[in-house]
Amino acid sequence: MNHIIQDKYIPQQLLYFIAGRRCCQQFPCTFRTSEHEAFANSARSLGLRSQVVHVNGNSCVKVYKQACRHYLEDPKTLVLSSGATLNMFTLLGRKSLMGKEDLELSADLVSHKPSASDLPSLHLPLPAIRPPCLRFWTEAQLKFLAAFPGHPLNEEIMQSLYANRVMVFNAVLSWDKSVFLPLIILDDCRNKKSNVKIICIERQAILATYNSQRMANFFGEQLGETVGIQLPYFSAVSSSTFIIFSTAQYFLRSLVNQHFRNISHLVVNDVHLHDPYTDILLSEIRMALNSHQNMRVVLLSQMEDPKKFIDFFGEGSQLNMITQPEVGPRVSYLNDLHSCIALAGIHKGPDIYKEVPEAFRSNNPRNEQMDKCLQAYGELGTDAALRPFLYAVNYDLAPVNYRHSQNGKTAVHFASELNKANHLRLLLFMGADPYIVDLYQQNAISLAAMNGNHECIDVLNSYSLHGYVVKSAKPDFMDYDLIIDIMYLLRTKPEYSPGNILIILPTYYHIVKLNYMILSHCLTGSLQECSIYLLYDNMRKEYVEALVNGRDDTVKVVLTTEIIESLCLKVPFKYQIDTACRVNNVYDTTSYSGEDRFEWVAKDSFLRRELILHPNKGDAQCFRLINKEAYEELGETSQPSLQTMQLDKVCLAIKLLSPNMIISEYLGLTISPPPLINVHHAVQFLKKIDVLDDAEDVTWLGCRLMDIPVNCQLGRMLIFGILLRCLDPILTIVSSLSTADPLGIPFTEDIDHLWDRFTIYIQNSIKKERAFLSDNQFSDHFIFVRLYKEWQNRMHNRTPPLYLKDEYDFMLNGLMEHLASIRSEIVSSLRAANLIHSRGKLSMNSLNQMSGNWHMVKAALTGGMYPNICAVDARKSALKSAFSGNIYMHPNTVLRDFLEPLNISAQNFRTPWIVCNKQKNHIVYATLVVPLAVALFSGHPRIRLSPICDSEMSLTDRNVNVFIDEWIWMVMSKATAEMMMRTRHYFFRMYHDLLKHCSELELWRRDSEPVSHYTLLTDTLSKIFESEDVFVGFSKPPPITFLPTPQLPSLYLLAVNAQFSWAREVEENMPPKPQHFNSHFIERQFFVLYAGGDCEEFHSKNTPAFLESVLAKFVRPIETPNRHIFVILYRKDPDVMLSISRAKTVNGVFVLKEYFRNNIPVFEILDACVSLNVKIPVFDGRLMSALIDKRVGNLIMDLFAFRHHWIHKR
Amino acid sequence: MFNARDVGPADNDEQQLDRNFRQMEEHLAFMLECNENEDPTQATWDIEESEEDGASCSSNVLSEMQENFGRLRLCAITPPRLEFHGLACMQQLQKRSRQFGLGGAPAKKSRAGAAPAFVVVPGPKQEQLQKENVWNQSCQDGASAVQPLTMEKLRLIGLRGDCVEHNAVLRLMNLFRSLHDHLTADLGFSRQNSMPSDYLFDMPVKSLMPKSLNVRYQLQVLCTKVERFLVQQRRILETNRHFDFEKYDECDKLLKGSASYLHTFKQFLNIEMRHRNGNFVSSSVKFNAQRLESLLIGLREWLKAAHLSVHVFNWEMDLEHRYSAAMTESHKSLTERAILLAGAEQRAAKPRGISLEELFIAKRYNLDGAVCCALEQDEFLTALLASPETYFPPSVVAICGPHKFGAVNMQEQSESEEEIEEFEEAPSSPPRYIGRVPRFRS
Amino acid sequence: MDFESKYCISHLNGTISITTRKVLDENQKSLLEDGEGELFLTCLTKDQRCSPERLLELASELGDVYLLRYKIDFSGKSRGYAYLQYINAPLKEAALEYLPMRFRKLHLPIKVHASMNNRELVLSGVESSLRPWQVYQEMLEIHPFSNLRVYEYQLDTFLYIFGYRNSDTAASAHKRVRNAIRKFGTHASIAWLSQEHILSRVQGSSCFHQELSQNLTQRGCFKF
Repeated sequence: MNHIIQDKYIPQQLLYFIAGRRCCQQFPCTFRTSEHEAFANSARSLGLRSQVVHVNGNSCVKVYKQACRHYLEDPKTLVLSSGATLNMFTLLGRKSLMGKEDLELSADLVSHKPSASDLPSLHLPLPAIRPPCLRFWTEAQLKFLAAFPGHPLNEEIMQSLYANRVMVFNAVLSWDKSVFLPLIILDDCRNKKSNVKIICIERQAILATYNSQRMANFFGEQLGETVGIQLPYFSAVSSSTFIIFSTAQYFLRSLVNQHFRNISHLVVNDVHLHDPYTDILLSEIRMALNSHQNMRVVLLSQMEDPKKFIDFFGEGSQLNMITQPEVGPRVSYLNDLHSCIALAGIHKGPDIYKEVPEAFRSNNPRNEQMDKCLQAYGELGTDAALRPFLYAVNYDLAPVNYRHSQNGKTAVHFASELNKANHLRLLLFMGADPYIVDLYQQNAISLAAMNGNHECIDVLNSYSLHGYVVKSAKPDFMDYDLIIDIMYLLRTKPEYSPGNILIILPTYYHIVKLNYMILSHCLTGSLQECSIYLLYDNMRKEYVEALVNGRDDTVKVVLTTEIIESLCLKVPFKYQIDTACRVNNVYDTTSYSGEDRFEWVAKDSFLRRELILHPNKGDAQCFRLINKEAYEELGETSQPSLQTMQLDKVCLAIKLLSPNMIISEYLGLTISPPPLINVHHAVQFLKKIDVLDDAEDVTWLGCRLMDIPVNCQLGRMLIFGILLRCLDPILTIVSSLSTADPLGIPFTEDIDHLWDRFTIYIQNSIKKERAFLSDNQFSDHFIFVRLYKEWQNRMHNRTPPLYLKDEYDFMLNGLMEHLASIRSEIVSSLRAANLIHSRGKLSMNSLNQMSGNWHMVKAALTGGMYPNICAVDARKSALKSAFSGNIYMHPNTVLRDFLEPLNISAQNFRTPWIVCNKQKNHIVYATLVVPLAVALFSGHPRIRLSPICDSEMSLTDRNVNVFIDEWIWMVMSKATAEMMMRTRHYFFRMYHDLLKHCSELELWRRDSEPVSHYTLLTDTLSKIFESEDVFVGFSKPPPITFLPTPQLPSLYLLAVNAQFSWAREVEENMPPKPQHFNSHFIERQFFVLYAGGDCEEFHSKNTPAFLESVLAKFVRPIETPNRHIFVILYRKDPDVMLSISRAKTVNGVFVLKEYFRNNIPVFEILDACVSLNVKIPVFDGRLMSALIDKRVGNLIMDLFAFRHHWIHKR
Repeated sequence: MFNARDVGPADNDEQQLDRNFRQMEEHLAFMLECNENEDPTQATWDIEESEEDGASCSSNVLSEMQENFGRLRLCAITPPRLEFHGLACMQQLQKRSRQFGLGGAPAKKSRAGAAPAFVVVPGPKQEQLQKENVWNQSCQDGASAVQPLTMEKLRLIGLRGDCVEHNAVLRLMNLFRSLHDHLTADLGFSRQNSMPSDYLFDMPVKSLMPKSLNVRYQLQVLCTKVERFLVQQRRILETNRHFDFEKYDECDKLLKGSASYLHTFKQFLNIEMRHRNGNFVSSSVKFNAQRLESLLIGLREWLKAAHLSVHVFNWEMDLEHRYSAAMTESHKSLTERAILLAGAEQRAAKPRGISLEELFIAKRYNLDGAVCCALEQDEFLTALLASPETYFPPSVVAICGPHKFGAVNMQEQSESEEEIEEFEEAPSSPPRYIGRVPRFRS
Repeated sequence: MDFESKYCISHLNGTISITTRKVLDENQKSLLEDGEGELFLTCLTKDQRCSPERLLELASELGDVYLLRYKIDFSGKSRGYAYLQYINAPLKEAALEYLPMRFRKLHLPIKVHASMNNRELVLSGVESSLRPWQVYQEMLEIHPFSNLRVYEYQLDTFLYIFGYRNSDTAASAHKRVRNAIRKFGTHASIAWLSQEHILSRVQGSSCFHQELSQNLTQRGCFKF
């Protein structure tokens, strides 16, 4: 038998393996040692690699294909520094520490799983339902009701609701369904004196807040009386509440304990959007209808055909109120827009920066390399010669239109000159522009023609026929310049009558960026003034209120995300600029990670957006930034997000809702069942990080992560931050990872038109800034911490300034506002989950004891990011990781430089272990960590030493192989292994205790036995990691002090926009001059004032009254409707312009309203004057003030407004 | 409303009050005191000026108030009351409070009390401290100088330094677990082969060992499971009996041998096997445990052999006797393809070196870095150059007019995928036990 | 007891309030809202034995309750204390006697005290560039208060004491001000004013008032 096994069976199995898709395979433990050898031999003969590993105390053989990245060529060694050894020894030597024998450590042998009853119940039980005892509607209320478009259909709606338990009500946004329907139901129940309690489910917290507040206003009450609200951090409900607003996610959470008790009607809004939690809620409702016979369900939607909901429930009726409007708005697509703008001849003011010489590129190694790449290609023209260039474009963010420094040629030039048609085609696909001319005024076409390269000429001909703008044909390219152009069109051309403008953008990041652009154009006066408002998903309600309460006599420009589709505003919009793009976090099963993907929205979404425009007026207009052809190809509806998203949180929620059901089974029964592979991955991942146990039951960790509003991985990171008492930096990192990165290295496409040519320069500057912030710590996560800290310091604990500096500064403030709000939301969720207490060992202060200690933060990162850990295999010069397939470092990370191969970067690495965040296969953020951190914190929390180590080796051997998980393989001395393992047990016992007992406040308050041991443990760990870091050779990190209570400005963007909004101007210009629409008729006068020091100093020294008297020497009266006076501050040595402000009279008092503040060297102004043929002004330090030429003034203003942080930074 | 800080539990204000009271009081007292007890020069100035200055200042405030009164009014319908107490008034108050012994007094006392603490440590004590410090330092130096931890030292903290489990109960438990793993091990891995999965997302392995530290209970569960396992193996074996008796006999022996262990285990089910916190209660129990351990190890070896032999026997018979012609054919083609792939694998084992041309480019243009980088992404770049059409959406491909290079490539790919699909349904032997293994419940 | 018809329960963030449904006359109501006769119950257990309904039931044995404010944490469990007011405010004295006895009988560890009804906040460390009238205005925007006392304890440095209607509003004001504290500069802080404090309204008010009226003109003090 044995020889058949060894000679026939095993080779055959290996052949099967080769033919299969997997990269590596572990064979069962059933094979014996002799067979292991047979495996090894025949694997070798087939070109495979093999290894014997230890899993659960069984030794198994594992074979790998060559491409597999799970195979570590050799085990990584773990050698402890003497300091760490000593500290660990002292720690373990303490008799009192964890005195009991280690049997109880093997907790996996004893059942201790949490159940739903252990979960904190967030909601109080709803009071019993009663018939409403309301006053009759007042006149005003009746009028309000009658104003709903659905009012005449009251009877019909109610009848349908009584006839069926489920009703789908389909109507457009302006019907305001989620306010209207509850009201008529309530009204009806009052008349019939029947029991009522209506739950209104909105998609987002802000929608629930906004709608509930409106409804409370209708009753003339506070929230918490007739109308209540239940949200994670805000709830107001009383026994007289009949309508309660909530979100699907939060309501589901309450179902764990409450099971639809005491609810008569359930109104679910926006079901057509298929929010994942709404979809799950529908499943729950379907199940609940069996036990709650009398519950009525109203689904509100805005879609063509809501039949699928009825099918899903198997009962119910639908009321479809959507009709095609007779007069739709005029719709123009990208195709028409370009020509339209070209024809209109927009005057955007002098473009001083257009002709700025590319003086930045010289002595820059990256430019040199790129030049050489081009040169090599130009001279050789082979595939191999093009490769380095292709690499630079595809992996190094170099622009495809890169121009050679000396001759200005791009790759396309060379390709057409050399008659490489296939290269040319590839380059064109990649977005290269053949019309660029080189130094000799030749473009690709003329070069091809000159050399008679017919094949290339053919390609270029067809390009000129079809491909005018490839760039804007991609959804992930946001054409800000075009939006600005359209703004000019709408605001300066008389054929477009004034009206509110709605601009729909994919994300908050885009909103902030566009906000600056519009603001700067408005302030320089080229674009007419308007009020800018922002709406986005997790905004605070002040943003909506500001818009709703905004004055009617101004033109409102609203920048919004998709949320506008569910927000019923009473603001009429006349124009809509729709980027037609949305961002979707898509789980990619091949790279095992979620990835933000930009995609076009579906057709139904266009229709809904179209209907937001004021329906009564015929002259509304939609500008869609998508090609007509691309639009035609779009699907009718977009894919439900449940089918694409990363499912970790959803799986957890489901497991708590129905603990006895297999997750994949449950999800298979939802209205939009996700692909099985996604569910499988999510569940396995959750098991890996100990959120679910082997039997798919929720662990204590899962219980605690439930209410934390970040994904499970990041939630686990927070837990490690708490355990290692360095919560503050971890909080910063976690919230940074959930927002856009202000220091991400931009693609060419991200850089707007004006600075297009400076791509490389800007990228280099940002890279340099990242390197500076990371301070040789080999960590991108450290950058987050530093950046946040620096930003806080820059605030000087004051509210952020309301003048503008430059785009980056504005973006930074805007993004940090977002970050701070996420941060505080996380903190309060941690408090709610009892992971932060107000006093004792889990108080904020005590959890931040190690916050200044970067070693500990790295350790916490390691634990929290597991299994996202990579190892550098220097010999193969490749990264190995749990995620097989190729993984590369994105140029974004500080671990590598541009155009630097891994084997060069790796020479500087202190350790082979990298903890990372990736997008697709690219490591975007990485941190190098010490081996001990990996050994201590990765792998399953409950592993024991004996099953994972190779103990069968000879007893005399000092070293031992340890397999922490399926691929992390280390070798260490036996003593180290035992000590490491014992420390690990202590740590994970603390982990379990924390998760299990964190809600017992008393336990953590007293200085009781186990708790004080934990303090000791973390103290020792910090010493251990510190000495490990030194031992490995990390440089000492700069201190990262932590501020105990960071008081951050909120609502920065709101404040800035209000400061510069036209509404305010009108208000201040008593008496209101009615509408001076074309600001070009306004005369502007510019004064320069000499300031000795900086602006602060100047303003503190000189009172406005004094300035007024100075100005009054030149002009009087200071303020007239068609004369604006600007004051420019400047100083000598170095000669710089400091700020520009507008002189205004507010309520009879003279003020200077600062528009911009920055440092602009005078020579730049002089240069600009020369290039624009403007008379060169003289700035003399001795003069306190002087009136300067209007053109120079405008020019200085432009210089302030369009300054680029990275280009002009010195 | 959204501000999370609004609702933080830190607002159990009533309870924090007390602390705040103290703090505020001390703070205020301190401020007042500072104000009074400033250094003499300033103090005199203060006294001289205070009357006037205080008045002037507050009148300043007053005038501001009046100036802004209109605006204040606007804010609220019933404006809140406002009182203003000037500096002079405060000083008066301060004096008065001193008389009453309120406020300032405790702070002063504490300051006075704190003063002696700053006195230097007295002589002898200091010496002793110094000595201790020196000793401590030498200790530390010595410790860091001592490099290897000796075994004796490890023993001191309860470690043996051999990475072997010393707790008999845990050893037994590990054995039980391992046996459960063996019983559930699936030797037909062809199904797994076809999945492009990774270690992270491997199909879950069901080896549910009951969660208990009771040795007898564990043993009982194991016996039942082993019994069932052997029955299953037996069934497979019997279907192959008529093909090759010699091999049948070999397997039969193995199964019988394994089964014989079960009888031995029966006796353990009735004897004392109790332990407390991992320590067996008596020496006889310890002895029993040792015996059980060696038996379990023996059983494991037998089970391995039996399982493997039966499976391979069945597999071989499948191949030789039960496969239809088509199945054999597909199996053969699969094997051939695998051998081809193995060739590719072997080629891949030798890493692609840098080509001469690349070397030339690297040297000539000083592009070592870029060439190296390009080598890292060799696969992708080669594919991109060979068939760019596959990497771009059709709308982009269309811009350069009709061209068909990539089509061939795509066909090839789809073909290979088909084959894999075929392979997925690899023929399996008829008597394979497909039903679910019932989950064990106590 | 017909709970539903007599009382109304509401839940707002961290407080469960049980309010009487009785219609009271304005005068009495306003007095009660000012916190008259308020009792402070502490050492409540977290279980059902001290549920708000149960507390109310026990308390109403003595007379009709005006308001029970029961503090809870995020998971809906008691934070260990509650406030109680009777419609008939003088019942407070009787309740101080009766309730502890009643609780003892039921083996509940609850303690009953008269509530301090602390409703004054101190704002200090305000940036000197902010003038008192600006502070007044800013604070009004944050949360309306009923009176403000400004003390100039050093030249041009002021201490602000804000009085609120009752401790509940003071508490919510405290929260809001804490969030907006940066408006008042780097070192600004807001805290509760202790009742034993010399500036406390409750204690020193009478003699202080006297002085105030004397000083009003000569010492640079004034009142609006």
